[in-house]
Amino acid sequence: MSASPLAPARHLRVGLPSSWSDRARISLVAGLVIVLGTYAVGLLAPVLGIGDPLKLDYESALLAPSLAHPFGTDNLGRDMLVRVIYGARVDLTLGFVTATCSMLIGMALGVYAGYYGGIRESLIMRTVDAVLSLPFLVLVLAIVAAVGPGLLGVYVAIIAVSWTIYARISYAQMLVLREKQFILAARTLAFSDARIVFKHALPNIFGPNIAWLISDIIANILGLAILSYLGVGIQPPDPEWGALIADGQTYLRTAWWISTIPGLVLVVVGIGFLLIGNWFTARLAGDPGAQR
Amino acid sequence: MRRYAARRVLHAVPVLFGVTLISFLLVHAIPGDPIRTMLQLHATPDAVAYWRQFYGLDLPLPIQYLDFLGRLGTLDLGQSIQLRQPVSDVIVQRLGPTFAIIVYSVVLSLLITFVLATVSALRVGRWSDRAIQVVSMVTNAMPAFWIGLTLIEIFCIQLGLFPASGLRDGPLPFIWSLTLPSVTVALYVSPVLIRGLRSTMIGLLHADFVDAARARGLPESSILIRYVLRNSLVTLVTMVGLNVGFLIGGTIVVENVFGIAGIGQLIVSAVTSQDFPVVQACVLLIGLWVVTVNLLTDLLNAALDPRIRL
Repeated sequence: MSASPLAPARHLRVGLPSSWSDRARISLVAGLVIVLGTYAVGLLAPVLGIGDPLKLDYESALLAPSLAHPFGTDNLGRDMLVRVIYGARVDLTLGFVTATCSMLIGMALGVYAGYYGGIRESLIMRTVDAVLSLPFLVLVLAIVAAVGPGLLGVYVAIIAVSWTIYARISYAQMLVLREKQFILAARTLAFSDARIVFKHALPNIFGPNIAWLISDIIANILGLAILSYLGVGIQPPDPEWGALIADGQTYLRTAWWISTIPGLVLVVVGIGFLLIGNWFTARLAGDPGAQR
Repeated sequence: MRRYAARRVLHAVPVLFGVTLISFLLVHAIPGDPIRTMLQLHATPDAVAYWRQFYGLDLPLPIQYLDFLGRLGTLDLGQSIQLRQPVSDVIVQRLGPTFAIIVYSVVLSLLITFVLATVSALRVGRWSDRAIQVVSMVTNAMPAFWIGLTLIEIFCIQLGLFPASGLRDGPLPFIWSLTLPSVTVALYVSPVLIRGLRSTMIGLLHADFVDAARARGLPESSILIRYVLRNSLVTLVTMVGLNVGFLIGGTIVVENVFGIAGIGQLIVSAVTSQDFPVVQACVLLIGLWVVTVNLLTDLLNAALDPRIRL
């Protein structure tokens, strides 16, 4: 989306009614503001000097939201706003890192399977089938059990499960590309496999993978939140959104804000990612080049 | 149909095999020693060696795997470390509530999906369609356990309508106490179903055979019921079938939120206490469910829609 003089003409070619693409762009900007804004605040938290997420203060336990504590305080008197902000670091970092790693692994294996075919294809793609036949949460739980509860286990488990969809996407794309004229031409010219894959095939495989990446980031964040809620994710006293929601369950009757507010923050960030994803899907569907 | 069915069943075999392999490897090939975990403080070298031999963990992996498959054939899933009873007994005790939640939530999500997707498809682009899409997008971004907690807060604590946790005895109280958990799962699953059914119905409303029916002067209501709704049933069956994994994931979470002693609570407590035989059995059981449901979905679809058999 560069601001070249050709930009208006591009819209005509894409063939989206301009109001549609305007709305899509608004949703992109709104999504980026929500997601990057939250992450920036989370990352800069130590610099901004907003306070210590682990500081106990029994005098001010279970205070309702007020000017001094906009999100209230928990049962140990820790400020919920500070904890939510520090939670953003953990959650969003996990989302970005796991999704990117899964995408790289999945793309590599999917392209490899699709390009070479044969026994390598069966081995990789049947593994994908088996992994995908188990529900995400079940497999992630089982791997966390094996690696051991904690953030490391969650990282390993999520990556071990979620590369499969990228592999399936890339494999399907590669199968189609393999028969395309320009790949056949490259083969005829005796280009090396590496050159064909990296210079000619991969650029065409990124689009659908990135579209999935965006929904995968939020799925992984929700995964971490669920695991922490179930007690096998992040361990106390570290702040993480799912763990914060879990902390509040005991106090639902007296202090609704402990569970409700981190949940709302999670929902807002989720919507941010969905908005970005919507823009991407609309672009991918509208851009004839992306559908080859 | 018979040939299609045979082909489809054959395709499920390697996947099932993969599921057994994954659940086997989870316990045997990943770092972490189940024997040490089991013995904890009593893990003297002698004891570890003894139990390792007792469970056959000193044999080569392929032989252990064959042994594992053999024991599966006799439904011998081993002994739970934490509960000290056979795993198969533990699982059988827990099946009922999980199954009830799944059935109840499928019924609820079908109702929600049917109503909302129909309204949405008939009024594409109008405010009711937009509202439904926005609400389902927001719901889609909510973690299931948070939906559950929010429902508890509203309906149990503020309004006092439902029990906040556990199950009641007697048929009606039982269903009543399962309502909030099932509503939670239904809210979690429905957005995906609504999106799929809505686009199918929009497609059907503009299909040639629907236009032809309109041209013959059939009233819009009977077009909707006899042509559009009936044809979109196939899509709905497929989507529920394909999302069964998602549904089970939601059930696991919800059982833990509402304190219901089902498979979901079992697997989580087994993970926390590193009770590997139970984790392994639950993974196997759920994998078996998903593969079977996917198989049945495909067969049902082929029976409903002859084009699929080709």
